[in-house]
Amino acid sequence: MKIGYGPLDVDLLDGNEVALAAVTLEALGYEFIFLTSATDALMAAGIMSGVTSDIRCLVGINREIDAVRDAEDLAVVDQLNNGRTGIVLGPKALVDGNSAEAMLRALRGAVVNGVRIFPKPAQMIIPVFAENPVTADLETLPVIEGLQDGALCMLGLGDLRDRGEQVLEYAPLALAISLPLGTSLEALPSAARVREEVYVSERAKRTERPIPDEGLGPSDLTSDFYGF
Amino acid sequence: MTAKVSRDRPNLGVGLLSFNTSLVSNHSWADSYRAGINIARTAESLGLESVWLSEHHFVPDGYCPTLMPVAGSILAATEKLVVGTAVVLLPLADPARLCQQVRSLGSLAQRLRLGVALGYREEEFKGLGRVRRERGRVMDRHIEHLIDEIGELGTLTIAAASHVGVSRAIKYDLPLLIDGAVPFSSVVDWVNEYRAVSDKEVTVSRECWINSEGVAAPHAVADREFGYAQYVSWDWSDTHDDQSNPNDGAAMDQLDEIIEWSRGHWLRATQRDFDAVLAGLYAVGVDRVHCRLSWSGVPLDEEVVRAIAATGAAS
Repeated sequence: MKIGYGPLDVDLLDGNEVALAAVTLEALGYEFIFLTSATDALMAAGIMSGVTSDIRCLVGINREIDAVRDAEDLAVVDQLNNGRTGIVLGPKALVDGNSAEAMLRALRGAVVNGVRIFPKPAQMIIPVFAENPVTADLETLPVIEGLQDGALCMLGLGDLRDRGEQVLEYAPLALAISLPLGTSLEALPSAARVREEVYVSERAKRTERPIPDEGLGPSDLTSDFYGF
Repeated sequence: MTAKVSRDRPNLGVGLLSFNTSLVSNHSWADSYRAGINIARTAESLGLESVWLSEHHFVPDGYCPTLMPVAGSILAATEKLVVGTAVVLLPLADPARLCQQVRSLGSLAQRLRLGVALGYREEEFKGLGRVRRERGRVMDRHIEHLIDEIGELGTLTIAAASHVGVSRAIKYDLPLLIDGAVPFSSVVDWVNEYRAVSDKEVTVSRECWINSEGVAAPHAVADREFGYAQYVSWDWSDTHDDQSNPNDGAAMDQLDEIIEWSRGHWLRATQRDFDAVLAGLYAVGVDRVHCRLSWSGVPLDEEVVRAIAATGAAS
């Protein structure tokens, strides 16, 4: 399971603060940042690519999709950070399934609206894409069906010890830790420490599934859903 | 509005970064972006003032289709470098999205120069659902939207490849960017006309082939001419999906003519050339010059950036 930070609501941050957050999280060993939302998140991923080398950016899109422009932005951001970009599509983005599908097809080099998108992403990662909500927090997690490999779960840092094990029962591929709004990232423990907290029990260790070699995906779920 | 920058001579920058790969390169597109960021860092470390980015859509060689995320990356990777767009094709853009992108840069946008122009490729207008013949009206509408929504943030700048652009910059009282393909005599005329009514920033782009003694060898110039030959003969349609160039037809027939015409407008960057160009542009009130290499084949690289910086520093 990948340990990351998020959601990071970047529209509340200055560009310099976005860059600083990325540097801080990478130094703490976090493997991804879940950025919200949409255009701001795409820009933040671009900004972060200029100051980081390893950390992945999951871009949350939760508004109406502009198939061509979103695909172009995602493709370029993914080139900028050499395949470290992923997409998390929220319910609003999925309202028009045709637009979402067109964007994803464009990212794979298909002709959309009579044009082909270049450059194609080197390794577009889609950790979560399903009909079920993809940004489920732990409050609703137990009642959500369909969470499976590829799911992104989110958990407040304060709930880590009590509920981290519960997250593992759903075997998410990625866990995003967040701090209360307005709290400085300086209060954040290292990713290694978070992992220790989650795997506090032997039962949790037994529950974990093998981590795929290539981290977050792309998942079979996505492939099946859109027939890629 | 943005005040004219005061200095003893024009600031010097480089461009255009377009992040495409060439027929003669084994580099991936990700390599190209990584190299571009490094070029920006090198330019800053050598004392150059700006780098400039270029946009085209649906091009098989990977030409960058969206500039703002790239601008964000370079702005974050540098400390004082100005990052300009030359240009955002404004009639093709979603103005609300563009405003949001500029706003998301926050204080980084202080170093942005948002150069905008009309665009011309029919495929791009079709692909983005726009009508080419309406581009002038759409351009004006989008400029007004940007002025209303972001004001001075990002320093909206009107690019001119024809006199219409100069008139538009004057009409909206916005900074002016003159394209590198404009003959030098026209540049001087246009700047004089603009300066008569505005003290906003004026940036001039000049095509630049380095052949200064001891800076770049003649074979390097020959390589770049070859690269340009490939560039102008490229089939820019969207009918193929690899990086090979299927066009060996009509465009090639006109190649010599095109190159000969272009040479007449390009700066061959010897020390004497630099001195003359910078002095001439400063005399008419230009704030910034960026030396651009805009063709595929042999893209802007660190060697050329160093040569431009060295030649400019000695001027």
